[in-house]
Amino acid sequence: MIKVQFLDDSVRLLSSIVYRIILVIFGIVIIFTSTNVFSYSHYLMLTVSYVSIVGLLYFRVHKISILRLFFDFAYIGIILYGKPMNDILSMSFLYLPIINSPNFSGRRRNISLYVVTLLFFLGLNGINDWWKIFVVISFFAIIGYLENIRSSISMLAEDIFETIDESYVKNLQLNKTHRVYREIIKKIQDSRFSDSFPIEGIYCLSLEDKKYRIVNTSKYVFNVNFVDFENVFNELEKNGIVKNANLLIDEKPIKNNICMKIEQDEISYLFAVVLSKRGLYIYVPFLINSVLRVALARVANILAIEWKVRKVKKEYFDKLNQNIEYFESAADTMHFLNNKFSPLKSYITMAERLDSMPPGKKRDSYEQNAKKTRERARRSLEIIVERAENLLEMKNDLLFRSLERYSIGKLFSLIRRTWQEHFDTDRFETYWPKSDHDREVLLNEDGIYLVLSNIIDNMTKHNDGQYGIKFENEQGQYVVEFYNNFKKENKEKLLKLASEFMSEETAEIEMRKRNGLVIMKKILKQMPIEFELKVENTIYVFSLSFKEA
Amino acid sequence: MEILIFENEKVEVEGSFEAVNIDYYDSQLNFTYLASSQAIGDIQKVKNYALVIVDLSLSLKSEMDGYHLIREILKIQGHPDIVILTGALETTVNQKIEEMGLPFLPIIKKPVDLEDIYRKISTFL
Repeated sequence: MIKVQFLDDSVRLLSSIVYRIILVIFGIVIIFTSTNVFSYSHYLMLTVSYVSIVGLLYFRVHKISILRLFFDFAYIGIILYGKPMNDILSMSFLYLPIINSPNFSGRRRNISLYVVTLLFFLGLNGINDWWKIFVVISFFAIIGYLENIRSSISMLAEDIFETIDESYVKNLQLNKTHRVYREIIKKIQDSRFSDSFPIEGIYCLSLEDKKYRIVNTSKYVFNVNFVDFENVFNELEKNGIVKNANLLIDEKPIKNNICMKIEQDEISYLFAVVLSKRGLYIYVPFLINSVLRVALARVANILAIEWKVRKVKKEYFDKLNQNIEYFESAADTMHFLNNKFSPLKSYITMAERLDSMPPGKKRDSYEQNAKKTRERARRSLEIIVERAENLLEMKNDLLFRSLERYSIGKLFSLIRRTWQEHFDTDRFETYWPKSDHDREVLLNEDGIYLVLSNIIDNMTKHNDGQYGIKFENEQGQYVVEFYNNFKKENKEKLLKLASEFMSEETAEIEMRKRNGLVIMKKILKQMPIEFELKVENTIYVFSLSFKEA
Repeated sequence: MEILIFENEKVEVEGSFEAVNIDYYDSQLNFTYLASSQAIGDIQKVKNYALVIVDLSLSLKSEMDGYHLIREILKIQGHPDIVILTGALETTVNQKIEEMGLPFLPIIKKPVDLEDIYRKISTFL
């Protein structure tokens, strides 16, 4: 990740060089337009010396900005010596270092620079009213101080934002937001604002229907509660912030706190920032609005992403569970059937046995038992049918029935993403017009993903070096052709497979041997997608045709 | 002759065992059905039976499944002969038997066949 600092340094170096070029040109203009104390040759020597020394300081000795500033003032002083200071050119020339000040004094203007410039002015112009010096310096000091604070807040904010970004981008701290809170707290505690804003902890709660729940916290706690949450909630709705709410953390009252409401997508978060003692409120509004609120908004963004990822994961696992349940149920069902068929099977044997059993007491007992078994068999059959219906219903639900409108652009992205799960390089021939990207087709996303995954997986297994996808437009249909060549010895097998797959008459029992294809066919039949599996010479082609919705 | 059958779905098999009893043993066999491993109380009581038939998948309410019940019976000195009753694949059963260090035992497969019941129990009776 390119650090902001590096970019800032590069820009500042460039500005610094440009400033000195301007300084030299400005100096030359003043020399040629004013009355000079020294001769032109002296000024020429001065200029050459200045350029050489400053150039050396740039390229041989880095980061000696104070030294460069010294030579800037020396150059300016000598140029302006003996010239009237009430001239606009001279005044502007003298103030150039102040204008350029962020380039050598960091991000803020240093008060001492104003003082040096003022002294130069007085030195060149002569001192008349001393009291004016103090007035000027005082105002400069106030402005300098405010700028200093502003700059410190800005630097702290940048530092914290970078920390947050690095935590997530570099360290993949998803689900570890509590660590980010600790970094934020540490940054503030290490800054000049540690006394005026003695932050101790950050507690994040999610808000829904005037209720709150802990999301995460900078320290491990059991519970976070508000004594009168309704008031806090109303205040947050009105102003977005509440100071010193009646907050309890692990039943302990927390006097000094600032609660902020931050909304991200459809989720509202309440961040309770706890202070170890009452802070100096003069800085608090700036720190909250420029630093904390923005930083916590970034964190809220990550929390929202985490929530969405968890939601998707849950949906995936719910579906997976359904599948597992289905297969478990299928296995259970076989076991169940084996039990239930026992009386039926036995009754058939008993009936056959009775045909050859001679009359007598034995036969009577056998016949009585057979009747009981027959009743049992009848009941077992009823139970089997009931179970079969349940299982069929489960199976139907599994097969991706619900359809949604899906743009062509999105479909293309899905195909590409699925392709990239199996192959390193894209091998696409695309003839879909870009202007069609918003046109829509009807499909079930999970179902089509399963189909694509199966097709492409087969391509990885059976290709003999040649494979790819063609995206074509045929008679208003968006056709996707998955093709791959194959080894000659597999031709018969693949021809048979293609023929069986496409035939409606192939016995279920034959197709059941190729379970993956059976499932694919069933999924595709649920959607308005035409499909074809064929072998063209030595190329195996699976095509899907999507009609516009 | 007393035969103990551990089977939680008695109604599915009792007619079949009774048919074998009538046809081959002139109703001389006396079957006792227990739905769970704990129903016998003291496991030593199995010695009162000439043969024990164990369904491998007893109900969830049973403290032991069929495999563990067999293992406990085998620990008893002078234990009766054991026959397995199951709807699972024979290969699966034998694999599990091997894993548990149990000896291979005769298996009556479900859905039960009258001839098969007779063949498996007649070895011991």
